[in-house]
This record gives sequence, structure tokens and C-alpha cells, in this order.
Amino acid sequence: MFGRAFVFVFVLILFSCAKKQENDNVKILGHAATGLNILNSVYHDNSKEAVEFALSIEGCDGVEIDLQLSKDGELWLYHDEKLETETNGSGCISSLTSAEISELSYTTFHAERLAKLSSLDFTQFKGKELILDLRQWNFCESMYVPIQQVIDQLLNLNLSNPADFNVICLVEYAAWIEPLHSNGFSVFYPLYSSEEFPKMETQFPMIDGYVLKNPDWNEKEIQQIKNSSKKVYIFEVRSPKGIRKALRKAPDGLITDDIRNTLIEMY
Amino acid sequence: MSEAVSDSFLFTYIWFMQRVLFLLLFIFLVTFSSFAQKRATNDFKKQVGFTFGMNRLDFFSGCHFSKEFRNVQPFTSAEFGVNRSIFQKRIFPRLSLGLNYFVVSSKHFHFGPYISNSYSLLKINANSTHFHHWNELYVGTRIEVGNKWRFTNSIATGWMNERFYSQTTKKVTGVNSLGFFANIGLSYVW
Repeated sequence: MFGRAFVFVFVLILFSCAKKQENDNVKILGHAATGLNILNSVYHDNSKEAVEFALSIEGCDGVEIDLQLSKDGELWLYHDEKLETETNGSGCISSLTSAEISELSYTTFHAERLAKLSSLDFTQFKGKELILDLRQWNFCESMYVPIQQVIDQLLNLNLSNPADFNVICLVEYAAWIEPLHSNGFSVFYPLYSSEEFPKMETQFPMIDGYVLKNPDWNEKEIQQIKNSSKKVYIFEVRSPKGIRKALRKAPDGLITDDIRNTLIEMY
Repeated sequence: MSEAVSDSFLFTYIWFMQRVLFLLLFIFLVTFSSFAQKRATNDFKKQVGFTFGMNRLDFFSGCHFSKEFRNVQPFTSAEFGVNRSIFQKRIFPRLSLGLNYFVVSSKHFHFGPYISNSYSLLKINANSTHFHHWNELYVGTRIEVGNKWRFTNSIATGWMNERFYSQTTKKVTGVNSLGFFANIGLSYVW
């Protein structure tokens, strides 16, 4: 009798804590689609399958993907500098043509093919957000990627102002901010310290928002950026504790490595 | 979804899993029947224990119950996901049914292959009416060391299937992946 009562009380305490729902305005986006190096991820990051999987989860508001320009000027989804770290190929995206890259696949259980940006089904983004992390550096030839080729690609795909979803260009190279903005793109910039903010605001007032690393920023600093009518998205969000901390900072969006954990914390 | 499992494939999968479950249940019931007990009272041992392990989704802790008839040991276990259930306050139960067959069996050491089928479910978005469901069909090995008190260890890998309601296609869809499970435990045998 005592044992049963103990089990009942234990279960009651364990599961009776009602969660507050006060973060409804925070958007949840998958980092590199379903997260980088995450054990419970079904598909490899930045694959077409991962993008589709992330968008199909109820409550997921969009994805962030990493884009690199191929030798013949097409944008491909890929995160790492070199192909040999994750795929059955070698070299860089920038040193191969699209025909060569299309033959490559990730060395995973599903062996997902590398995906071209143009191969994504943009109809599934309806009402959602797509963050394009544009890589400016050609890793194999140690030179900057020509921005005009990137812009041409994005314009060809009609991503400057799509009718039913939101596209954000995330750039780390300040020289790309102006050309992207003047072509009608919404531009976000990663900030690594609070001292950078006033400088960037003076030099590049056209920036629409900032992407911040979760452990490096507190609620007050984030509020300060939001007060100047800029959007704030937080990344490096993975563990339940980290997700809770990030949600308390009230950003506009979370770029999370674990969509499931984040949705559980959020709702 | 390009890699999504089609309805017909899911149907085949469910059909297959049902047969596996029925087979395991049949073995379980036959082994535990009073008929079997009367025939082999001395060979028949019960085992109950606690386990702690992990799969791709969470760490799992729970209880394990089995009966051993000669070298065959059908088992059932009920566990919960530690991270989700305790630290995130979201119930994440996992129920398993399986069979061990000890190819090496002495007084203090038992070793052999095992097969298990597990089912778990989790409500990821509390605002939704839909759950995510996981089915795992694993094969692996099990080691038990000890006589009355046994240290146990199971390692397995196999098929993990996740089914959920897709907000893009507006229908239930599924994805398959390679899963694994490993646990350790302490059991009492009588």
C-alpha cells in the first residue's frame, strides 16, 4: 500500500508541472536544417531531406542553410570547408562544377546527395522563413567569392522578395551587405560582441537584423538591439538548459540545433 | 518528403511488426504458461531489475521483467526518457518486448543474441494534437553476470522508424533510420 502511494505521488510530482507558454512570438528555425552534429537527427545537415524533414515538424518556422558557390556559379548547400570531411568527394565546392558535385553524397546511413539551392521545393516554405548563410570565402583558392554571381543566382530563383515566405541573407563579410541590400534582400549580420553593435549601426544602418551566439549575450544587450528596430536571432542553441536561457532573452528567433528539444521547451 | 515512407510501405511495416509482436507474445505466453511451469519448475526463473541506457532519442531508465526457461528468456520492459520526462517535464514512455537466447549459459555467466521491439511516443508540440511515434526493431547481444544478483548489459542496433503528422503534407508520414540501443542494469533472479 505504501509502495503504491509512493509511486503515485512520485509520478504526480514528476509530471504535474504545467509549462508556461509565453514565447509564442519566438520563431524556431533549424540550424543547417535539422542541426549540426546532433545525435537524434535523422538526416545529414544541409541535405534536401533534412530541409524537408525540419519543415514538416509542427511548430518549426523555417530553416537556416549554408550556401557555397560552385566553380560554374551555382549555389550548393554545404557547411564544411572541405568535401572530404563529410562526403565521398574531395576538395571544395568552389573547385568543382555542378555536374561533379551532383555525383557526391554524404557518408551517412541515408547517403543523401548534396543539394543545389535550386533543387529545393520552395512551395513547402509557404508562411515560413529561410535563412541563407552565404559563404564568402573560396577555401581552396583562398579568395573571396564574387558577390555578383551569388546575387544573380538568388535573383534567378526569385528569392529577393518571394510572395509567400521570408528570405534572409546572413553574411559575415561586411562588403556584401550593401550589394545584397540594394538588390532587395533582407540582410542579417553575425555580431560577436556588444561593442561591435554601435559601429555596425553607424556604418551599415541598412542591416535588418543580427545573429548572436547564445552564451555571449545577455537579455539586456539583446533588448538594446531590439530597441533600435533590428531583429535578433540567437544561435548555438542545443541543450534544454541552453534553450531555456535563450528563450528568456526574448529574441525574435532561435536558430536551433535540436528542433524537437526546442519545441518541447517552447510549448 | 523525398525520403518519406509511402503509405503502402508503412502498411507493410506495421503488418510485419504486428507479426513480430504476435510471435514474441506467443513465445512469451507459451513459456510462462502454467503448463510450462509445471513441466519445468526447476528450470524456470523469474528476473526483475532496473535498467539505464540510451538510444538516439534520449537516456532511458526503467524496469525490466523476464522469465527464463532453460536458455530462452522472453522479457518486457517499461522505461521513460530521462531528459524529456524529468528535465523537460514531457512524458516520454518506451515499452519493449523481446527475447534473449543464451548460447553460453553457466551458473554465473550468460551470453547470447537478443531481439527486441520497442515503441515510444512523445508529444513534441504541446499545442498540437499529434504525437511522434517511434518503432524500433533491434538485434543485438545480452550479457548477464552473476547468479542471484545479476549485472546485465544489452547492446543492439537495427531499424528505427519515426511516424508523425507532417505540417507540410498534412498527413502522417514516416522516416526510417539506423538506430541503436545500449543499456546496463541490475537484476534480481529467483
